[in-house]
Amino acid sequence: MSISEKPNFPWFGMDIGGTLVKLVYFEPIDLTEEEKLKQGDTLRTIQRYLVRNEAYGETGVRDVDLEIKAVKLGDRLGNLHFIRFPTSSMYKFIDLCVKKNLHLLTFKIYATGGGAFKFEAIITKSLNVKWIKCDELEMLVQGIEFMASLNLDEECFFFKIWTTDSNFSNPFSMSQITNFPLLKANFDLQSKKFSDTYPFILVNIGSGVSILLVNSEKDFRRVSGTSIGGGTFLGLCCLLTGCKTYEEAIDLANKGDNTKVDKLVQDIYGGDYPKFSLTSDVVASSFGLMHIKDKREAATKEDLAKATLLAVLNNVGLLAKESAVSHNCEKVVFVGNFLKANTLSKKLLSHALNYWSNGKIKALFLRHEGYFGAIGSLINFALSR
Amino acid sequence: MSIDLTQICQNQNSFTESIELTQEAFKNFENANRVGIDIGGSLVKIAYSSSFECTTAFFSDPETNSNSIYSVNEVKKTVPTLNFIKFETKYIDTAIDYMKKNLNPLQATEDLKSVRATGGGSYKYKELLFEKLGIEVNKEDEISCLIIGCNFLLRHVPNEVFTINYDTLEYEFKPVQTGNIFPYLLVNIGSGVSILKVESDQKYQRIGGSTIGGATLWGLGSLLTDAKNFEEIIDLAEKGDNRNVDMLVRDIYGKSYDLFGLEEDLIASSLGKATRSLYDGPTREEFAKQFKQEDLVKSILIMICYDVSQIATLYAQIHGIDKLYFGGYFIHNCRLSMKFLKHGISYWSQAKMDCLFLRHEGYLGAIGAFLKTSQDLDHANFSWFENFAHSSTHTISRLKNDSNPFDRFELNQEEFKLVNCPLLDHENYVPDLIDLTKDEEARQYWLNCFEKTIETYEKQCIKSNTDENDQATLKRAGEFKKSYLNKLNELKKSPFAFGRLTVRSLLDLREHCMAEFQFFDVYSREKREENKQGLELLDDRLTYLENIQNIEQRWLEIFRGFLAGNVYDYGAQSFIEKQKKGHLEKFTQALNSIDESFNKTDSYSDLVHRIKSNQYKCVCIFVDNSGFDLILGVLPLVVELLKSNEQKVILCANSKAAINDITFQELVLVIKKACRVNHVLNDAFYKTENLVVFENGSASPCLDLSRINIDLAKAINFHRVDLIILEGMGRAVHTNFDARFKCDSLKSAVIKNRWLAERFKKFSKIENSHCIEFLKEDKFPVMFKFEKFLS
Repeated sequence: MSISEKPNFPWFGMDIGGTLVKLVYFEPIDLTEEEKLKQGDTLRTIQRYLVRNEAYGETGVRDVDLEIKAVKLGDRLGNLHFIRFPTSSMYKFIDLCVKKNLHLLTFKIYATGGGAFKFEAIITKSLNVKWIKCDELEMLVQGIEFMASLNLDEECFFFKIWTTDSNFSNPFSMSQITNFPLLKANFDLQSKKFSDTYPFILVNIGSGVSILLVNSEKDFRRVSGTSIGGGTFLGLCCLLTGCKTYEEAIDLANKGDNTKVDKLVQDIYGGDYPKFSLTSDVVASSFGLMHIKDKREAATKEDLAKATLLAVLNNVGLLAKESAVSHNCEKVVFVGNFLKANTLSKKLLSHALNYWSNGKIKALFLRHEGYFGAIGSLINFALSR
Repeated sequence: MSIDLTQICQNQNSFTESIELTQEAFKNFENANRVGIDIGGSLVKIAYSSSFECTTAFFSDPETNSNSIYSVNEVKKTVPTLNFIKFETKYIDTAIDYMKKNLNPLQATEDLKSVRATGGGSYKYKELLFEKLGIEVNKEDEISCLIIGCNFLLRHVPNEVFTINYDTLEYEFKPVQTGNIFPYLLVNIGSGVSILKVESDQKYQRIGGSTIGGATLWGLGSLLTDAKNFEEIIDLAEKGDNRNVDMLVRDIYGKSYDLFGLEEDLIASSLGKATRSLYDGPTREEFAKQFKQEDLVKSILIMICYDVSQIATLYAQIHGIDKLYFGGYFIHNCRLSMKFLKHGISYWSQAKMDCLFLRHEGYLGAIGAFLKTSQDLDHANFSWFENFAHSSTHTISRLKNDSNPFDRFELNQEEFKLVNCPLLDHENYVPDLIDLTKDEEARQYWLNCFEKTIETYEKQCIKSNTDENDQATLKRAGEFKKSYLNKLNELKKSPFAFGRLTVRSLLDLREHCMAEFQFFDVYSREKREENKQGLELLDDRLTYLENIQNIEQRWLEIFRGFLAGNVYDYGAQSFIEKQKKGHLEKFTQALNSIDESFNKTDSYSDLVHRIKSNQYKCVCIFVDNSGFDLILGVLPLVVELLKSNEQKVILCANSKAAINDITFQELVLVIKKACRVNHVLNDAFYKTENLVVFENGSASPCLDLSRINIDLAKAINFHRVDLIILEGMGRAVHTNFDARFKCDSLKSAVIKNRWLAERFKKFSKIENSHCIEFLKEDKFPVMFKFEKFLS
């Protein structure tokens, strides 16, 4: 296959979700002198702009820690860069592209996510690109498969949960989790080669949640999903605490105590409910104390954010576990940007699955959690003719 | 659910004003012998067993020198009742005061001294209950109480289960296989959500749950809106549009995207639009103001409904259960929640499962707590009916109207255990022909009809009393009328107030209202008079038939008579009018007043052919009116059946009075007299026992064949009934028109109602319905529907 048959640079893969746009950029490092000459100024400018910055405008971010060096994509060698910005800044992004003269180049972009549909018209009008829409789930699974094939250390990890306390039990047991450093369970982060994983349940937590059963790269389907996802967490946190960003919301949640907000079993029964194995510190109702004026006034922003996080996670955890049970899967892989910089959520989900399944079902996480759709698009682009 | 004590104390004053209402709510509490309590966060439910005394007619052989064929006396009868009341927690102190004052120490058994209580609030009131009532509260396990309550309602209360129509929001009542209620899932949406799998009375478990439940809506609603209580939150939600705050598939994709069958209005992320950007205003309040409170709570309500329905469907699939009942205060009368739960279940299960609700779901815990004290009162041995006169209407709004803070529901014990008619094809059996909750035209006609005829019944009530000018009687009759009209008005507003609205339920309601004001068997004297006349004419009629030599001719004459008798129906206005004019004094007039074309139908020829060829071993006849109907219409048919071969006949009559329908007691007395006239009857009744009589367990002109006297059911099996005859509009048209049997059946009636006749004609409901013309040439149309059992 000759180089001329390969798609022109720049190489992008995009995933335009409800909240965030994920962009993966392939920076070629094996360009011949001839190619460098041919490349021209525009392309060089763009490359410099993307690769040398860590933030773009007020909202764009390059996840430097996720960068992968010297990846072979097709027959080219290059670095993968991971960039994200809010979907609400999509129009600004297009303006920026025009400002950087990107519209003078002719190239192709492979895009997935709902935004691939929503922004198709405006993008093809503003830029001289061929816009290829890709199936969201296919890209997601292919992206994961590609990353697995790279066989990177530390891409996949899980929490080994161990405890010395025989009473330690319930994932709903929020008083334990509230005092997180003192949690009676210990979480050891362990890396794992992401292989021999099929079949698995893939839970993509973005604005909403999609749950897929993946039997192989080619054989997968959506088996469940819920509208209670990252968007719900952020929406409620914004409404309840006035926070402005996801990072702020997670930060608040990390410091909060949900038992000031949630109604526990002991608030209802005055103690345990042994007949149905509900211990007194189990959450019975999310926000269940907030109809009481005094409690409402006493609850802090942090408490409210924590309760919101737990409500969302409990629900996702439950659906993930039941999906795994009904499809006989022992592995649940959580991806999506909701988990970004969110160790608390990862531990909670690991803990919940471990407990609910008596250790049978394991929660796995991937470092490039939010970018698989974009990676999938990039691969399809790079391998296209 | 927790209790806000300060809130309760603030509201005590309002109670004194409603002392009369309290009395009404705690009806017969002075006879209470057992109590169960369920105290939740916003509502208290109390269950108690009690009894009241009612007057009823007792028939006996006539006193000597009496002109009457039998004498009618009054007797007092004690009717055991189960009472359930529900009110807001703020009334609890005064309710306890009322109970304290009215608790009869003589009635109070040991059981009453320790009350079973359930619900999150019950332990908080333990001391109050002990201090004031001197009763010890035994805390009962909440979940098992819910399940016991649910089992009881499913088995004992007709029309308990319904689902909601997503588009029209109308209730659709669903038949319940009372003998086969398990397994089911009970999804209780209280503060949180519990999903209970119930496999038998003893075997049940909590298989899952969710923390996102009723108190989540209540809590978030309190945080995000100005609503002061749960009801106000629901009211806000009713007005909201979630699409302004939810991130829809459309918002992400820009247009419909059907890869996974996702619709564009589908919610991708609940509250996903309510996110703030760095550029938004400085304060939380300013940000929150961008969204309408109504839209926010609507979004949360929908989120909860879809989440619960998703989890419930998932568990139902894993456990292979297709019956899902929903309960808990989140749902209580809230059509908005029901609508989205219904939609959720249908969406997640791909329309394979139905989302079922219970009319009395608010009482589950209290019923369960109560039944735990009453194990000796073996409830499996009794049947109950809902006393409409003593029960509140099930309203569509969550809030009770301000005029009455109490909701009550009363069951009265039937004298018999009622069971399915063994020959009934009871799968999907719905007794009633027309569901007036669904059929608006029919509803208006019948509500109007019952309203118009109320005067007739008021007059009859007065007339039934020995002293027609007695002031007290006039007052009572007036009260009966008022009470019935009130209920009719409520039914106009919420047609499903007592479950499925039908002609039968309207008739029952009238009987219950009459009984409420001590009017019973108001036609007993008229019935006796007509029975007397009928018996005087019986011999002639039988002789006349005997003398018809041509067998075909004789059967025709017998069935003409059988139908002509059915003209004598005091419940039919067209009959009353004709009778007033003196057009039906003689039986021959009745014979000439029916359309005879029925004998041209296949139904008729098939039936007569089968009877003539002695195909039947035992015929079971559900009779209708007393007097000419029974004596000159039915008895000649019975005689012919008994004598033509060795056939047996079972005659079934109502257990209690309804209009001029013959009651079992009257039937026995009449048969005894008839036996003196006819030796065939005499032999069959006294010697061979080829003629047996039973009471059917009913007190209605209509007949619910899923609730018949167990003794009759046994007899039907024992005598191997192979032909069932249902006679009259009530038993064969208003009910059982579509009933299917595991044997041959004849449904026959004289159509004495123009509206119904026109309906039959319009919808071609019956054979030769084209010739149904109401009172054409002054003749009543006839329904003669013989259905062969195809095994």
